[in-house]
Order: sequence, then structure tokens, then C-alpha cells
Amino acid sequence: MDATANSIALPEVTEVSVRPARARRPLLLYAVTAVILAVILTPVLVVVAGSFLNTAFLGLASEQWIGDGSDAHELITFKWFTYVLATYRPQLWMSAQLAFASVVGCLALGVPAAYLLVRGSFPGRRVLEEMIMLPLALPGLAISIALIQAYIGFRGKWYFVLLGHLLYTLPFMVRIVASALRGFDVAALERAAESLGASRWQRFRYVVLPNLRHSVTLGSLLVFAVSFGEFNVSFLLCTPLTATFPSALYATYTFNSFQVSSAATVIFLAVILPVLLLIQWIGGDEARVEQGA
Amino acid sequence: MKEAGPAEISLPAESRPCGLEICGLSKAYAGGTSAVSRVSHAFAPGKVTAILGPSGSGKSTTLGMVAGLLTPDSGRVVLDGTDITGLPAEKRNFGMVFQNYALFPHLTVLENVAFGLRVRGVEEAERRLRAAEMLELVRIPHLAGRRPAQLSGGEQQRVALARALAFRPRVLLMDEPLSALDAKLREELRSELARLLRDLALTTLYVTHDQTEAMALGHELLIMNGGRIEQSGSPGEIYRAPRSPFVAGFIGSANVFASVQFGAGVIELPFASLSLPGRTLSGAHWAMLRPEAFEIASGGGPADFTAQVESALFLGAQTRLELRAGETRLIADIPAGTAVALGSAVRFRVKPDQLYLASFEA
Repeated sequence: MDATANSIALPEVTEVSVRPARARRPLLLYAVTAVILAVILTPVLVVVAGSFLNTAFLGLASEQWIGDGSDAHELITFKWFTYVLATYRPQLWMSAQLAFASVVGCLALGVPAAYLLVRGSFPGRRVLEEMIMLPLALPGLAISIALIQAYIGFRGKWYFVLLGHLLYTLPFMVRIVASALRGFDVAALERAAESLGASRWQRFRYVVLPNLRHSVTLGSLLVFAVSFGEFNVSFLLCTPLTATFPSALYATYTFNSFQVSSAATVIFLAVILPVLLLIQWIGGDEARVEQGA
Repeated sequence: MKEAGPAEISLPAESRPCGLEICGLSKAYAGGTSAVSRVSHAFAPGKVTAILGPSGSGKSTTLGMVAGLLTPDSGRVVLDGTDITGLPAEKRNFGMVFQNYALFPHLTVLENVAFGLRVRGVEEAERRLRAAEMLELVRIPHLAGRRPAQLSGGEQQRVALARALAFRPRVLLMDEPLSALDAKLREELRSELARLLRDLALTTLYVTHDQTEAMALGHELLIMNGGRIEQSGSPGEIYRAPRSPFVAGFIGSANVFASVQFGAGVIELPFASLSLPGRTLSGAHWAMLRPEAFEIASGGGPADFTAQVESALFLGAQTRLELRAGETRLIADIPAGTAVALGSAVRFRVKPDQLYLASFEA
């Protein structure tokens, strides 16, 4: 066969074979996506359904111990929520407080730490950054056991649980803020501000911080979400008086009915989903800003 | 605010120009390499001094030390008789324009320009007015509400200049402000900047590696090489009387001959011997011939040398020739329209008084 003819014919052949593939690919893509979505969403739907349904009509008597059974003929009920909120209010409140305290702690410690790690030139800077990141790589169990063994005297104190949460959430804040600081030439902007008469504090306040507002917001939301949902550290560090909502969630699954644990899960989702959506939304916003639009 | 041509709008009120002096400034970098060694100069008050040199010559380091952004290892920076070496940059009141502009991306153009006033505690209404005036001065009042990311390079450069001028600096420092722009824009902005800087009458230090820019903007040139000042003076002085072969080659085009021999009333250049009537010289000298020093020996007139024409470049009013005379390569400018054939041997004369001779110093 003629080599030149062969090489000329090749592109045509590939083009013909590519076109139908392009047309077929979206269908396949949609199908695969739909299956994956169904697999992921089904448990969520089951839990949501379980939290609202009065299953007495199915003939199950197990739920009769909540309420007087007078609503047994109705399909939808809120009694599971009422029960969870009444029973686990202290734990829900504890988790919310811990999450807020973690955000405040990460703002106070994590933002300056990230700034020093990026802008500073002290020896051991790299080692310090690795140390801060370490809790991410260690299992929460290991951190907790280490903390308990080292500071057994603080067991039962709320700030002991907060310490565990801070160790675990600080890397998120430091990582996000540090990478934002590395993303723009903060040194050049600070030099410009310095030449314009700005003091060290004014440079940080008027130049560095405003350029970090997206990443600091993002980091705060992430810290809130991580802290609110944290189980390993909380479960080991807490005592019945300082238990968090995720440990309560675990308790409902272990010792309570499916409906009660479903309601607890839905409450958990109601807190965490808006935060996740906000992270998604702000993340996208930041990407647009960085593209210079 | 009065309506007037942009160039006349309110200049900095403290119009008495400041006397800036550096004495024996030195700075070595971490590896021990010396960036600047014992540089001293008194800058002309109210004038633009262009600091010119190849990259690594120490010009930006010198500027950084004047600005207070770099700490000198030794030496002093003196402003109007006061030693300000230890004064931090934020307290110097020196306006600075950076090569990459370094505009604040989170602020509008107006807020960028007003920044120096804001950190000085000037009331918002006043600083907005002042910033708007500055935008008039650099001819971009219509861009006040934009963000830096929405501006072209030339517009960003104007904002950077307005920002550096808004707080009425005592000295203006510019670090290669035009080098990030394309050639055409650079040329336009250069002449506008020259006018503006002349009107401002601020003591200005302008760092550049572009000799055309330095000649166009600088009342005085400071030629730096290897961390030292090679020569300072007006552009004309330096062009006519360069102090070293380096300066001769760096400012304008030149044929430089590093070592020359003297005979009886003649000087021996590698390609010709030229007569030196009435001058007896001894010691180590170097010689320079600018491209305009040559002319074609017409007809049977006397000639100093014969050279092959290797290339001819049309430059408008002149044609630049590359010549080869024996082992020596020369550049020569002749009036456009003179017919020379490439590759032909042409007889040349060196115009009288065009040979520049200087002794090596120290």
C-alpha cells in the first residue's frame, strides 16, 4: 500500500469514528451520573423519609413508646424531631458552641500563623508548617488518646474538647489562608503600602486582610463544618457532660429507634448543608475574582 | 478646582525641591556578592536623575536603599542635611512607582490613589478630592471607579504614578516604570512623563536600563556598573565625554578601542593611523569614534582607511553601515542616499576633531 495515501486517509477515518462517539458520550455520562446520584441520595432520602413518617400504620409497635399513640393514624409526624430536640438539646448546643469557638480560635491563631509562615523568614518555618498540618494525617483516635494521656487532669472540661477541635481544624484555616497569600505577591503590595506611609499594622489591616477576606470566610465556614461534624476527637475527649451532637447521633443509632436517629441526622444536615452550600458559592465567587473579571 | 489643561493642574504644594544625598552606600547580598559598594552622589534638587545601568549593576538596590525598603550595610542617606538612613520607608514621605505597579487589587483606582492620604488620617472628602485631582493630572479621571484588574498596563502605570504623587512626596522614586509596557506605548508615555516630571519639579530618581528613556527623561544621568557609579553628568556631557569604555559603549553607539599606540604625531588604531597634530601623549589611553565620525572619502581625496561594507541599515535620515577593516569591525553612519554597494571596498575618512581620546583612570 502507498504510504502517502495511507497517511492522508487516516484523519478522515478518525473523524468519522469520533463523531458518533461524541454524540453517544453525553448519554452514557448522564446514565452513569444518574446511577451514582441515586446510590448517594438513596440513603439520604430513606433517612429523611424515616424522620417524618409515622410508621405505626405499618403495624410496627416499637414507636408507641414516644407519645400516646393518638397520632398513629397520620402518615406524617414531627414527634421524632420533638423527641430529639428535647433529649439532645445540650449536645446540640455544645456542638454549636464548640464550632463557633473553633472558628474564633482559628481566626485568632490560624490567620496570623499562615501570614508568618508565608511572609516570615525564621528558621524552622517549614517544620512548623508540617507540625500544624500533622493532625490532618493522624487518625482522630490517635490525637485524642495522646491528648488524654498528656492532659488527663483536664478530662471533662469543655476547653479540653475545644483543644482537640482546634488541633484538628487549624490545618484547614492555615492551609487555605497560606495558599491565598502565596497566590498574590503580598510582599510587593506591602512594599507599595510601606512606601505610601502605611505602618506595619495599617499594611496588615488595609492591604493584607482585605485581600484575604474570601479565603478567611471560606476557612471559617470550613472550620465550622468540620468542627460541627467532628466525631472521633469529640467522642473520645468528651464526657457525658461535654458530649457533642455527633456523639449523640452515634448514641441514637446505637440505643434508639431508626426514626429517632433519622430525625437527629436530618437536624445535623439542616445545620451543615447551608454551610456547605455557602462554601461552594463563595469558592466559585473567589475563582471568578481571581480570573480578573 | 479650576478647569485647565491637564499639565497645569495643581502640582504638589510643597514645591521647594528637596536636596537628597547618598554617602558611601554599600549593600552585599546573602551569598556575599556585593550589590552596591560605596556609592556617593548628591542628587540635583528638583531635577530628574536617571540611574542607568545593565541588570545587576546595583541601580535598583541603590533606589531601594534610598526608599528605605532595603537597609544599607554601611553609608548614609541624607535629606536636606538630615541623616534619614535609619528612618523606615513609611516615615520618609517618598513616593515610589514600582516596575510591576503593585496596585492594590481590592481597591478602586480612586481608593488606590487616596491610599497614602488615608493612612495619614486625611478626611475622606478631602482625600477623594485630592485623588480626583491626581487622576486629572495623569489624564485618567474617567477610570476612578475601576479596579486595577480592569485596566491596561499603561493605565495601571498612570494610577501608580498618581498614587505616588497624591500625598505630596518630598522625593519621587521610579523603578523601571515603563519596562513592562510594549514599545509603542512606552514611547508615548515617555514623552508625557518627561513633560509631567519637568512641571512637577520634584527631586526624582528614575531607574532604567533603557538609555533612550534615560536620555529623554533625565536632566542628569548616573551610569552604574558592577555596583559602582561609573559616571554622572548631563546626557550631553556623558555622550560627548564618556569616562570609560563601558560608558562609551552604553550611551549611544560607539566604536571603542581599548588600547591605542602613539607614534610621532600620530595615533595607531587597529585599522588606521590618524594624525594628532600638536599633541604629545603618553600612558595608557583608550579611544572612541562615534558612528557619525566617519565620512566617505570622495573622488581621489585623502583617505584614512579602506573597509569592506558588510551591511547597510536604512535609518531614515542616515544609513548605518557595518564595516570590516582588516580584523576590525566598525559601525559608521552616512547620509541616506549615498550609494554604497554591499561587499565593495570603500575609502573612508575620519572627520577632524571627531576622535575621542581618554586616559584610563586609576
